[in-house]
Amino acid sequence: MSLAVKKIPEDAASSGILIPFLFRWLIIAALADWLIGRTVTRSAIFMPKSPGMIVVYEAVTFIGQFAFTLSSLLALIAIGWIAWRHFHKRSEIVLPVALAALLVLSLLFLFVPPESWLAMTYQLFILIAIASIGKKVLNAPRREKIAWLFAALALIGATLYQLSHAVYAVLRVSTAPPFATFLFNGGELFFVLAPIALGYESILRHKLPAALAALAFGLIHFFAPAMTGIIAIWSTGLTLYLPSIFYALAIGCVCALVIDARTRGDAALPVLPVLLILAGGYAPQLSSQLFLNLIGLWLLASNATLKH
Amino acid sequence: MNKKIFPLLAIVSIAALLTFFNVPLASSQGVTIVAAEVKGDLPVNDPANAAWQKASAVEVPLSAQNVAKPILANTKVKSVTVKSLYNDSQIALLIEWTDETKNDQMVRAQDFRDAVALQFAAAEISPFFCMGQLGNNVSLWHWKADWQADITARKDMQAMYENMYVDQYPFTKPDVPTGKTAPKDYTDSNYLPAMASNNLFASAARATPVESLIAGGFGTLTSRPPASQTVQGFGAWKNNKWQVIFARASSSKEKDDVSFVAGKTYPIAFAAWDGANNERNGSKSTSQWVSLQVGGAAPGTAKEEAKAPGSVEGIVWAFLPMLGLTLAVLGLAFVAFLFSKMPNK
Repeated sequence: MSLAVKKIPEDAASSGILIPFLFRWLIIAALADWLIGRTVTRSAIFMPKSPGMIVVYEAVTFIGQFAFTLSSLLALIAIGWIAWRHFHKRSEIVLPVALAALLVLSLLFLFVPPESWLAMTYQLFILIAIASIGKKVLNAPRREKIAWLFAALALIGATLYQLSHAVYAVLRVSTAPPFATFLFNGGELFFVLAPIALGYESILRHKLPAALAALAFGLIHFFAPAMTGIIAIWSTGLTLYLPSIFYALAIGCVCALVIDARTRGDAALPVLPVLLILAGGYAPQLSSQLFLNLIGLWLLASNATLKH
Repeated sequence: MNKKIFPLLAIVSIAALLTFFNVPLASSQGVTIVAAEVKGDLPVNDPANAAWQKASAVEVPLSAQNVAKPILANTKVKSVTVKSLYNDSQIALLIEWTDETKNDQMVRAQDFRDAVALQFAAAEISPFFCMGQLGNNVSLWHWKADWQADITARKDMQAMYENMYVDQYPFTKPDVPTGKTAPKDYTDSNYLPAMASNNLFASAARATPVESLIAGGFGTLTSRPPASQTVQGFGAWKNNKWQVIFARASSSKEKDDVSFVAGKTYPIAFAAWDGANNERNGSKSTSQWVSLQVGGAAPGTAKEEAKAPGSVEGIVWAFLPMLGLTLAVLGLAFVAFLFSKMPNK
């Protein structure tokens, strides 16, 4: 939780005091939602609890719920701010429109089920937003470009999976879209490859902690598969269909990135978007989780352009 | 410092209030299976019925169950395709998946059946997707290929081993030929205690190929009482594909069971077994929670129904509102962009 945000991307840093400050709290709230609300409380569901422990469990659950609401609120503000920032600077028109549309539609979906053409519009705006953010990394170094692309392809895969169903529903085609499962599984592959692409340099600097983190995943997966399921499948949206070595390596890379963030100023940058994307999870089931992914991609793109 | 703290305090206070009053800020946006409304009876025994064309199909990815042992890493069913229909009293789901082999016999010890199961959350919140959790039970509908085969023509050891010989069945009717006995031929149920106690697995005649169960965590899977086995089913294997229909009354008075109300959304998860791959019990393919929405767009009017699914007219009408909304938003934004002030550099 005490992860220092030593450097905020240019767009955020140039906006005054409040928004970078909110980004910092967004990351903390998102991590709390992910690790407390969706992981710790769920890990304890099969644990026998004494009356005292039940009180603690309920308190932790409430903290998780509060973290979820706070991260949802901050994500809405951050998405609105990014849209406003680009609009105000007249640097971009498509991205603010797409983000504003996503914001409005996500709030509308609280009252109206996201179905047929409304769902399709929503999914299309997600793809437009990703493409618009992607424009920022066109001139970035190849390594940053590839790492961003992997993270983006994860979200694109999950979005195309949903979009294909929405399009078929709109077209009133009664068969399932082809390649839907391929898109979904492909997205998961890129979701795992993204931290590897971002953290492979860090892992060389911090071999031991990265190896220990990867080993811990392997041991937990072997000895307590239910725990792995709760952590990886339930809270992050992964299906774990890939060989375990992929997930272990990704965890090792994230661990190395976090250590880099603690020890090196410049290397601290990619870890924040990675943590946001991880907190958002794969194939987001909630609008707030989607926004965490989009904000993560936007920060990653801003970071990539900084290095250019 | 104050510039930072006051807005943050305001945001934290708003978040605390929203949490306290349980006001959501995030909407669900996962893939949703929308049950289409049908006038009249549901085609509960006919996967080829034209009524199924009214429902949109959703392909739900499955992966090997890897949470509870025993774990079989290479399960064969990679996805299921789901459609749903409902009328004023019933709901039905059609599940399809590719399976190159038909495994509908469990007579021999080395045989395992093909099967598919649906899981519903008994409460509004989604519990752990693997069999629920303590205090948050899940309701399960488990279709079994061998139970389906039992309804058509029950097979026993004699069907599998034609040349087998049995000296005698001491508790059967005297006129039953040796080696041709069936459970109904037993005269004294004291010697068939499982059947006498209405154990579904020992039932001589099956009313449904679907077992209705309840669970609240690993190792708690329990069959509902025989009187509560209200889920009907039908399954057929054709062209390397299983098509299985589940049907039940929309409302249920059972404890920890789900009742379906039009306009509402319910968490649903899927599991499938390929018997040819020795899949049974926890060795299976599973999905995570997806959403089942009962009803969606208004039921088809005469004009709408006249449009064939996927017809050019249908496509045009479907795209027009989306195109209009997108153009309106883009147009408004473009106008605002043109007339907005340039920021001071």
